[in-house]
Formats: sequence, structure tokens, C-alpha cells
Amino acid sequence: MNAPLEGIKVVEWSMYATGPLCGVMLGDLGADVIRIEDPQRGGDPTRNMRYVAGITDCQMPGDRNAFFEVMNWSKRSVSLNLKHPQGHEVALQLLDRADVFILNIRPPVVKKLGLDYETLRERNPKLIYATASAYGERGPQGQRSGNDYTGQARSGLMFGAGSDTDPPFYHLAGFPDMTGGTLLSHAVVSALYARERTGVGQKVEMSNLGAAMWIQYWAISNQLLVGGPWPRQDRKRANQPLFNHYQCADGEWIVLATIRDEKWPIFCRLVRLEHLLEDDRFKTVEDRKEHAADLVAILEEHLSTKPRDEWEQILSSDRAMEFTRVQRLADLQHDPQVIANEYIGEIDHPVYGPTKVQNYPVRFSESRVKPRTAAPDLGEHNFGVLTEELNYSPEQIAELVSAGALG
Amino acid sequence: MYIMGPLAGVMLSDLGADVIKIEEPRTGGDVLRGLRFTNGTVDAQMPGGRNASFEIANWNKRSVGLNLKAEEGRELAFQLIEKADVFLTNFRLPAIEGVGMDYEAVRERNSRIIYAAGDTFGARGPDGWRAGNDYTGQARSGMMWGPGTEEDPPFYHTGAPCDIGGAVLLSHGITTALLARERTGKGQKIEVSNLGAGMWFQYWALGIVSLTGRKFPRIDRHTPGNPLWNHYPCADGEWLVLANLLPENWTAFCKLMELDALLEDERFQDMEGRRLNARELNEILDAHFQTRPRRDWEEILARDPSLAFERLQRVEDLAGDEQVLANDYITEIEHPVYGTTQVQNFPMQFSEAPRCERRPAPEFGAHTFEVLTEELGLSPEQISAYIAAGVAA
Repeated sequence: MNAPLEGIKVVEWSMYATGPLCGVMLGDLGADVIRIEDPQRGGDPTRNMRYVAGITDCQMPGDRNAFFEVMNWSKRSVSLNLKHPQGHEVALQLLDRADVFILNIRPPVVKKLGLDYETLRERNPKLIYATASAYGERGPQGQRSGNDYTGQARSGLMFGAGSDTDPPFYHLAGFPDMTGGTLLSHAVVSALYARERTGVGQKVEMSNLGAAMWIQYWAISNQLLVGGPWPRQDRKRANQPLFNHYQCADGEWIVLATIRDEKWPIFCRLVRLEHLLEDDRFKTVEDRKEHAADLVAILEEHLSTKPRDEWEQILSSDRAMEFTRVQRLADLQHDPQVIANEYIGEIDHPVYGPTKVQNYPVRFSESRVKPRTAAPDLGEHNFGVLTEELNYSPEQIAELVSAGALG
Repeated sequence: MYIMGPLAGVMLSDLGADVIKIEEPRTGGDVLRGLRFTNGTVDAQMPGGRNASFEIANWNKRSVGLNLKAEEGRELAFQLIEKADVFLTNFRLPAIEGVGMDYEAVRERNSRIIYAAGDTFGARGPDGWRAGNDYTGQARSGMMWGPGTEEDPPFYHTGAPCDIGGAVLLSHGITTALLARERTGKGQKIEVSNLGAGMWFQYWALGIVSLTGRKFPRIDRHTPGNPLWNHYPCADGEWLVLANLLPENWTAFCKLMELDALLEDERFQDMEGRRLNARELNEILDAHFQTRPRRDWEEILARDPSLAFERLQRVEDLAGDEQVLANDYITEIEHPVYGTTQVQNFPMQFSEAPRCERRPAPEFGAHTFEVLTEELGLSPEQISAYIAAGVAA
């Protein structure tokens, strides 16, 4: 079966992570994604952003950038000056033929450049117009800029890890941006499905704040129902000591993740702590919760007597035992489980050679997922896109370049 | 059961789908119905013998009690599947095969079905058979080293991001497969795991680590790589986040904050200088933020729309946040047992599709009668006989 979005044309006018990740996902699903970038500013700011959270240098050989690369696999880049009337006209021509328009540009800028939904819908009623904002387009902060960090802060995410004595933590992963890109891609696919059934295009909206809230659905929705403060968790006093992580003899960490009561005797027998089964402090879930600090201390000491490998082997002998190793990001590409499920794959990159890439995370039994190609250089596809998609002649393109409409 | 599969069902119902939940009578249905403490922090017990965690993972659904171990119960399930577009499960493969509801068997009864399976570690590979959940997803995917400094232990995140992420991907995959079916006429199986989801929602960090081969150290807020990308405690003990990435933000920031002297300071002239002298700059900013409460700083920074900053909220602050309410991220429903209740809404807005109204989670087997009559045309007598025989409940 073809890729699900084979033949779908996407125009993306976005920067940083949320909009671009949505474009990557639609590209994985087979869509043809054309990025519009501003030549006057050197394109997407991440092309030149060496330190983001400031810790790891994103600079790559060939004057390329890792941040930009991972957010722009497989796309084509057209460098259009949208402030120039002719550049603007080219953008409109591309959008007239597009199925999807992705943007994470602030609404006042979009309106000023005449690329707002009302204008585009007039020209192309079947268009799916997909926006990512920082805070949602309504409300007091509807027009303000923001990013992953502001999404983490506003949504409560930064108090999600650590105990009450810890400061709030910034999470390195980029949850709000990644969730935002994924939800936007979900919304686009849903709207394409609706269009297939009704013939009508529409606008879909998603924000960093909304995405950051959604990825904490369990905590937020539970809190809305039970009320009161949502406590942080101190692993020294984890209320469920079998739902906790422990350091082993070799300094590596292991997670025990059992929830159901019946796992307690199984666990005690496997790790040779049978005597705890006779201990009155630990008979039931409630008992173990009440004496959590004692039990965590016992388990900490016991689990620190063997290296992690040995505990993994011991716990593996019961199939229903939930546990795993605590890995670091750099471990993942060597994890046989990750490789077997093709969560990380490899492509042959024109500049870097064989290169590891994170694959689209849903496996389809029938639909093909499109292989990744390198992120585009700024304006790399100006000629290809304008000739193939819009039938411009080389002379017309040269004229656009000399007029400053095309970078 | 639990969260990943059920929340995917909620998302599809938010998009308008009719979701029928098959529950096992012998265990009293989904285990989440009776689970007071899951990760141990908050008691999920609610009035009326209900459970908050079950409720939020099962809005809008209809519940049918079917004993899948009994041949007739399984046959009823298959008859429902024959009329279905999507079959969603997050049971482990041995349990699924035990009741004969693997993809091959289901496809045989309905070749257009979208069969969506969520598991822990992915079905292939050495750990494909193993049990797990959100926590094992967090651990295995590298996520637990995300917050905190190098001196801290790894941290568990209480929001259940791997389960929620898994649900989002299941719902995304199902919608995609429905679209593909609309275009090709063919159904298929889609698969998602906690591990894959944990990795996907760290796409940015993981992508940079794999591509650069460089270490991704944990961040100490006293030595940030960019002090304008950091969080600071204010005079009232509340925290404020600065989230600025561009070189030009520096000048605007210093002027607004009346820190003009820093603009002349040799150490902080450019991004590189501010990175290399982060500890000193952080100390200056820490001291400065201590001189006023947070709301003052918010007012001051709001004067320049190009600056990104934000108050650091707790989960329990969201229900009172006017931005959250204005965008309908949280809304109210009338619940038959709890009364007026705030619920978290579907996070995407569609201009042409109405928002689905949330309905309460079903009592166990509440719709057995309704579904078996409406969907399968059974008579009340037939259903009563099934219930008496322990096939339905």
C-alpha cells in the first residue's frame, strides 16, 4: 500500500520545532512538504543556532545544524520574500494548489502578510489551515510569543518531577514542542479524513500550552476530579515502594513499576526477601504506603548488593513483573529492543554519510512510511518547485531573484 | 485497560466516534475501576464507588460486560467487531491470543478493520513479551534523566507522559489508517509502544544526541548555557521562566529590567560570552529577581512583546488560569454523580467540527443491554440467558 498521504501537498511556513516536527511527520506519512523560508533572515533561525538550552553544540560539518536537520528531514526549501509583492504572489500560487498549510507564526504577522485563514479559504476552500501558537489564539495571551519552555512553565510540567524540597525543573526533552508537533499532525490527518468524507477544508488550531497540558493528561485530569494540590514525589518515601527506582551495586538504576497488589509476594520471592512477607508493616498496599520510608530503605539496601544486570535476570524469570533499566538518551541507539522495533533507523546522508534517524513511531502493517532524506539547504528547491509545481520558466525565476522576491 | 489504550479511545470519541468498551466480568472490569493508588501519590477514590483515574480514561464510552473466555462471549465480541471500523487493545499478546483475538483472527471476520495495538516495549525484540507501563517507558527511553542536574538521581514524572504519548500516537495512527482506508479500501494493523512514545516525545533531544554524537548533559540552573533561558525565584517565592533564544533579546531584556550596566560588561557582550560566564550572570540575575514579586516582573517584561517569559504554575493552578479557560482546554460538564465537574478537553480545535460534549465514564456493563440490542439485534430474553450463563454481564 502507498504511504497514507501520498500525493498530499503541504506548504509549511514555520520555525523552530512545533510546526517543523508536524511537517516531518506528514512527510513520513508520504506528503510532499515545501518549506517557505525568509531569505532576508537567512531562513529558519535554527539553521544557525548552536546552543539552544545552551548545553550541547548543534553545529555540524558542512556548516549544517543538528537542530534544523532533525526538524526538517525530507522537505524542500523555497526562500521567498513574503514582503515583496512578487514573492507573496508565488506563495499564494503554491497555497492555491496545496492541501495543507502549516504555520507557527504569530497571528499579527500572518495577518499583515495577508496569509490569514479567511483570505486563503476564499481562494482555496479545500485547504486545511493548521496553526500552532504559544498559548492558544484566544484569551489574554493569545497574541504573545512563547516556546517549549513557556509551555513547560505555564502547564505545571516543571513541578512534575522531583520532590517538594527540589526547585522546579526544566525538562530537556522538549515535551510541549514535541507533543504540539504530534498533535498538530494528528489534527491535520483528522481534517484530511473529514475532508475526504465531506469535501470541506477547515482551520485546525493547537498550542504549546494545550499540548503541554495534554501530555500531562493523567495528572491534570485526575487533579480536576479529586481536587487539592498535586504532590511531587520523593523517591525516598514513595507511597508504593514497588513503583519506584533504585540504584544497583554498579551505580546503574533500575525501575520497579508494579501497581497491582498480587505482585508483592512474587517480587519478594524473586529477590529473596521472603521474610518481608511475614512483616506486619508490609502486609497490604495500605500498610506498605504507611511504612513506605522503611520499606524503601530496605529495598535500597538490598538492591544495592548486586549489579543491575543480575537483578534484570532475576526479575525476568516472572513474565508479569514490570521493571526496566533507566537508560540515557545516548543508550537508545544501541538498545536491541529499540533496533528490533525500528524506532531508530539509518539513512545515507549526502553530507554525513550513514546517519541514525528516529523513525515515525507508529508501525503500519500495510501503509508504507516514506524514507527520510536530508534537510534542505536554504532555497535549495527554488528552481525545482517553481518549475515543477508552478510552471515558471528559468527567465521568470531569474527575474524574481533579481527583483529580490526569491532569495 | 489502564491508560494508554483507554485514553486513545477517549480521543477518538472526542473526534465523534462511538466507542464501546468490552470489559471482563470475572475481574470486575478494567482494573483501574478499583485502583485507589496507582503511582502512590493521590487517592483516586470518588463518591458513588467510582474512581477518578478510570473516569478520565473512559469518558463518553459505553461498557459491555463480556466473558471472552466463554465461546459465546467471544462470538458476541466478534459480532461487534464485524460491525466496527476500529478494534483497539493494549492487552499483552499472550492474553490476546488466549482469547483468540489477534489480528489474523479479527481480520478474518472483518477485512476492513483498523486493528490498533498498544504495548510496552514494542512487539519485536528481546523484551517484546514483557509487561510494563508508563514508568518502564520513562526509564527505558532516557526520559528520567531529562530534569535535574548531574548530581541528582533520575526522576519519575508524575504526568504519565509515556502512557499519554502512547495514546496520542494510537489515536494519530488510527486516524491515519482510517484515511488510508478511505483512499484504498483496505484495513490494517497499527502498533504503538510506551517505549516508542517515550522516545518520540523526546524527539528533539534524542535527534540531536544521535546526530551530533555529543553528550546531552543535565542542566544545573546555576550554570545555564544561556542565562536568558532559565528560571528564577522572585521575592514572593514564586518562579519566573525566561525563554529567550535570540541574541537581540539581551538588549531589550537589560533595558526593561534596568540592568543597563550589564550591556557595558565585557563578559556578557554576546551569546558566547554569556554562556562562558553563565555562573556570574546567573548570580546577578538571581539577586535582581529577588528584589520584586513575580507579578511586578511579569508586568515589566510584558512591555516588550518580543520577550518570552512565563510564570511557573502548578497543575492545580490550571483550572483558574483564564488563558486555559479562554481556549477551552478545561471545560465544565454536568456529571450525574459529581455534579458540575471540570474536565480536560480535546487539545485541538477544528473550525468546522463541533466540540464533542464529554459524557461520564460508564458503570461496568451499563450498556450491555443497549449495545447488544441496538448493534446486534438480540432480544431481551437472549441477553438475559447470556447473563444467566455468565457469558455477558
